[in-house]
Amino acid sequence: MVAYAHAVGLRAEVDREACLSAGRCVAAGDGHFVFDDDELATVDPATPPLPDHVLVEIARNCPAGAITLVDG
Amino acid sequence: MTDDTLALSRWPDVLDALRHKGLRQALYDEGAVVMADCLLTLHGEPHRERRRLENRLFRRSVFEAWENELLTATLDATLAPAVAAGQTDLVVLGYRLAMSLTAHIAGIDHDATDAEATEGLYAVVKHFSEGATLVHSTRDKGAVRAEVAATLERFDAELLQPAIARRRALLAACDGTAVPHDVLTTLLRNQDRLELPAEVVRREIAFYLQAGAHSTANAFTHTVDQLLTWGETHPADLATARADKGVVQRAVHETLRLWPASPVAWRRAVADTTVAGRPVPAGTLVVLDLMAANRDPGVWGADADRFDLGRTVPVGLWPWGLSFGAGMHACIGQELDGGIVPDTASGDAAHLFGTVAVMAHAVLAHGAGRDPAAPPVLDPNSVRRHFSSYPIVFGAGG
Repeated sequence: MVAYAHAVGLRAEVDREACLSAGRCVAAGDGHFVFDDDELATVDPATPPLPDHVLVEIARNCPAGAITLVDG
Repeated sequence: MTDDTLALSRWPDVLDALRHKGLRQALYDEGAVVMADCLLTLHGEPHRERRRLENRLFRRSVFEAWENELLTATLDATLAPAVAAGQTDLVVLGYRLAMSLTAHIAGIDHDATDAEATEGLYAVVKHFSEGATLVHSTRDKGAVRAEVAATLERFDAELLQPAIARRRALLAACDGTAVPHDVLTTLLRNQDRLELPAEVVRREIAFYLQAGAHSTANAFTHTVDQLLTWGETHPADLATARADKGVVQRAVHETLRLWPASPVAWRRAVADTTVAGRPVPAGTLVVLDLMAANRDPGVWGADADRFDLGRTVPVGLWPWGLSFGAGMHACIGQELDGGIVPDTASGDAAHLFGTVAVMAHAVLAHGAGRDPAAPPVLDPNSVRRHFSSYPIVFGAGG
């Protein structure tokens, strides 16, 4: 958590194999996360990045642990 | 393989274990009569496939219609007679409400205004719960298994098959608007693709009925109890809660933290691995003390054992602790029961308070207070803190 709190410019990656299609990221991500044709979550590269603290919260709430945050 | 057991009770250790993909569900191995091959006991690819399918029913867009329409209608139908009578038992009211709502989600056709039918369904579901938690039973386990198997057969004939027939007819008619949005319909639509035997469909519906009804009903009773107790020393907070669902939702989360529906979780290592920094051989039973983790003073502070409506939740923790689990078996109905935390990125335009908060607020808004002539009674037959009776009167005010 400390590492997250001090990071800047994070980018989210979704592990498609791990995604359980819960859709919490899609609901909370203001369009940044979308469902693909298989109803698995993915990042829409055309959308602006979300603030770091929002990405951290979304990643933490993913029941599948499918969202990884990396330096953007 | 080993028969070793690893017990974990610190927050970071329990969280690590819950998220560990090399640990499979183990609490319901003995309850296979009703739990085999249901969502909660699957592991790996079969679990992923089932969860992806059923998760589609448990998204926020679905919950908005649920909370604003169905829940309100069910509350009105169930609560009105009790309010008119001026009194009721919170335990009975909670189970009637939760049972009707859970039947709707699972896909068992049910009239929420029919108290007798609700009682009958609840009796069936209590049997399913006894079967699921067979590992903790002090009764003859073979006898319990036989009883639960017989109840499943009766449930199948009397409730499930009619529900299946109605849904198959609607699906065949291709009228998408009339097809129910529930677990049973979802399974029937995908039964061939997933090669689901009829008995697995039966157990899956039984699982949803018992898991949803008990957790919701218990959280409801405990939340009202905690708020009434808190109100004895903080009357202004209780008065605010009677008018503000958001305050009740905070109480739900704090109550869930202190009193998780299942105080323990069991996992078993499918291969040699490392859990919470410890080497764990394949076959090790990992016992997770959720209640202790939720009260871990190392993360929650020295007053972790106390109910505090104004508690500041430490950064990085969920206000309900680990009561909804985490990882692949995190409660599928978490947002349905507990709502959305108001200050997340979701925005507040369509805030969801959750089923338990809406239920508890409805009771409190009618001035619910403890019946001074009949104090609440804890279930003497349960090692968990369950109320067997909680008489309340309406119009008690502050």
